[in-house]
Amino acid sequence: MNKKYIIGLVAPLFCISALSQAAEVAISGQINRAVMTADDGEKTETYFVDNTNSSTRFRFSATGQITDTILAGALLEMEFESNPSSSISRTNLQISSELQERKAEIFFKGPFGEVYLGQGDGAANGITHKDLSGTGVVALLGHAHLIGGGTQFVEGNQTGSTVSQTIANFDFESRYDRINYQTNQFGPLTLAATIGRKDDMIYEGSALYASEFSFGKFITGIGYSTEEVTAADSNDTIGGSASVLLNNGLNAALSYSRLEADADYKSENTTFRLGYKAGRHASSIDYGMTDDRAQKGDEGTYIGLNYVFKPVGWAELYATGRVFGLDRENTNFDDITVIAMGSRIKF
Amino acid sequence: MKNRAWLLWVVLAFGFLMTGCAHQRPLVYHDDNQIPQGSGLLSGKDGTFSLQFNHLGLDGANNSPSDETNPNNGTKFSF
Repeated sequence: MNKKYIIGLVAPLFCISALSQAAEVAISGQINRAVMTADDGEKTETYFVDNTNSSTRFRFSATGQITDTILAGALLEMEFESNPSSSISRTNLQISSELQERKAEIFFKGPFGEVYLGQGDGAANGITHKDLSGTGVVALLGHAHLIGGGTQFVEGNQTGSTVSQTIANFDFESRYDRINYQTNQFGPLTLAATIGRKDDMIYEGSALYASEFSFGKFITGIGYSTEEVTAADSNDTIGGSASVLLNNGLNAALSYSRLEADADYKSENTTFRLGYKAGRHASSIDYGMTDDRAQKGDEGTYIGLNYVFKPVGWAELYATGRVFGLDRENTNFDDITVIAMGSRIKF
Repeated sequence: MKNRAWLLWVVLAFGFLMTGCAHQRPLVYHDDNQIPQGSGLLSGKDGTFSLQFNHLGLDGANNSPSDETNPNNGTKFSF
């Protein structure tokens, strides 16, 4: 991406600020790097990666009141990942960094709710990883493939599918060009709906419930998306997650998602998490299953252990270990073991 | 494939049960995969480098100059 393009994207943010009487432009960002070792049963390799759970990125946001009750703004968020932890592998030892658009949207917030226009999250994006364990920076709930996902299962000299192709969840349609409407919170409840398109039209909806009680915190969400596919059945995704954090630090979470690509073929992912949070420390253990993702009959499993230490507000140190297994008819793939440790620094 | 769609119903049922609990208040949730809220290494307590435009100097005569505020354009820099 050339500099002129970046300047072209950023300039409107400053213009929006200039239109309002009192406005603000804010810049923030983070760097998230890690060391990752993957053993596919035949060979062990070590990589220096960008943690795809929350990639290196920066953002510009501009906001201003256009009336007493309506806030208008613009957001540009770019990521800059070299060696993504989800893609690096023995056959892809180095992946050059590339500036990529994550969000480029304008928004209006007021008594009517929130309206977003441009590239950004669909209504249900993220609904399958609502989690209160505090370990999401290294292990987003249900997204185990984001660390070591490029590693291929091997059997002797034969290589098969990668972790990402076989063990991953279906978190709807991620980010794309769309219009998104989100209600204000009805107490603890928020509803959202999106219409947008990638190659074809996409429709998404979600409901999110987040509340604090005398015994702790609780969050749950459910979503649905459908993407039209020319001359074929649409891709329908349904899923959700729930997490509870007790005052004593014990927490638990569940994520489920299912993709129906056509009438005869469904894939699904389920992940369970138990965790414990104490002061600046958070830890969790996961067990996940993905069925029929790369091909019918596949059964992928994952078990992981995660730890995060947050010594100050702007720094997190983390470590994770996870084992992936793939059960496929007439094959005997070795398990894949991945360990990683690193840090996210907000600047 | 083992159909585990019933887990979604568990999630929903749990949510509905929770709505019946007393003494609840909305939770402000921030996804772990987003840039964290709060302080930054260089940006300090606010966590952002911010430029504030106050009246944009259009009525600059009403602005009161200070160390932080440039009286010429009403722009405030904070880190």
